[in-house]
Amino acid sequence: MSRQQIPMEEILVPAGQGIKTRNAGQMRVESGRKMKIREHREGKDLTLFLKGNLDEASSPGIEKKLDLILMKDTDIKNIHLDLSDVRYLASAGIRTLIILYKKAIKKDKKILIGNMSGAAREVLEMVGILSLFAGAGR
Amino acid sequence: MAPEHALYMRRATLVSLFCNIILVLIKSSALILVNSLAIAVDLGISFVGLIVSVILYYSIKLANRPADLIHNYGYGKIEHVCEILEGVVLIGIALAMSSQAVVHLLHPKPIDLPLVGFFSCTLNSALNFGGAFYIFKMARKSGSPAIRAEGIHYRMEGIISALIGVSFIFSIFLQANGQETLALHIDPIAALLVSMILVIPSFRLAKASFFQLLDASVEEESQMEILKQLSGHIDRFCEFRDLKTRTAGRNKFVEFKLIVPEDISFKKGYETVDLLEKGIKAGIPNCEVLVKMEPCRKDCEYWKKGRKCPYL
Repeated sequence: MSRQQIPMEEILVPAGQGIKTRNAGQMRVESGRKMKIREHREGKDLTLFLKGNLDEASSPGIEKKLDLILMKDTDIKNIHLDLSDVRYLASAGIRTLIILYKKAIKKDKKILIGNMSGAAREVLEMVGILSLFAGAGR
Repeated sequence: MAPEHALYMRRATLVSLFCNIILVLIKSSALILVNSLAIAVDLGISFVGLIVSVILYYSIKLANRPADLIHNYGYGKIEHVCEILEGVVLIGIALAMSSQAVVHLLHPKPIDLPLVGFFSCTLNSALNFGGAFYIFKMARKSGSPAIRAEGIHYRMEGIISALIGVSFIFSIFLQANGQETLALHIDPIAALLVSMILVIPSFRLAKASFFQLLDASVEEESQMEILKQLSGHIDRFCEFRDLKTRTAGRNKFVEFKLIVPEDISFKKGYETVDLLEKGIKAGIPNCEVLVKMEPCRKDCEYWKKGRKCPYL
């Protein structure tokens, strides 16, 4: 299912109010201080659409969320990250991605990055981890 | 620290000291002749600069001392203390002079010999910019944040002297056009402007140095370098944890835990640690790296399903 076909629902949470979630059919929406996440499940695949900055502020929340999925959610085998709306990818974001990549291998799961913004691609290429997350665009 | 780095830093502090002495002498003479509040502010800045140069000279000597039993991580943080001191004192001068400028605006006094003031400021500006150019060069070669801060200070002084010089020209122009009353206010306005210009970079300098003293982590570029090294050897370890970095002056410290298979040979594990340490040190100058090797807990799917560990 292409991204345009997924019903778009976003919740913007003001800074300091933590993360809120809302279920809407197959959609779960969460928002942190500077990052919006939309989730879409399809069988054993989970796609997370990230929007905003993946930096020191948002990385801990993303890591915690994906950690829970990797450790507890046995139905999901492949996690696809859509970074096409990630405006800025800091070293903290890269650190989170590498840690999660390793945890996924440990749990015999995969983390793939399909679509990414130009800024995200540039950083991933510079660090040399683009090939680790190679996945088809969704 | 490399001997040439210590030499560059010593040269920079000596040039700074020498220039500050000359600047204080020129500005003191100009103040006596011209009786200008703006020149008084400028003199105050140079006087602080002179004191800071002396402190910096001895601080650099201390910062270059190798780590010992009392200071296991060296004396690099003294540079941040110098920067904070400089920032705070300059803010103090700016606030004191601003209040004087307001008083002079309400009760303006004439200045004497504005042309002498202009030539003095031109000379000061040239000396400041020339000094800043050299000090920045030495800061780049040595990588010292304190020397870089000194360069910023010199450049700021150059701009301030140039602005005061312009104010004298403006004052002469107004006097020549019969605007004596307006000309009386130019000097305190220039002093107020200079104080405002002084506060912002001084505050930024003090703030940045203060956070460095609180063991701030290394800058983004170095963080990326560490991650580049980890990703370059990603097939040699299970995971990494507790990555911590900090800065002390020019020196950087990196430490993290590397989780390797429990059954890995000591030699192979050590090779991985050694590669990472050398790679990170090569990518980040003046860096000390500590990697602690830990065995895995055999809680991965490879172990549970009896498959061969990919990292052995």
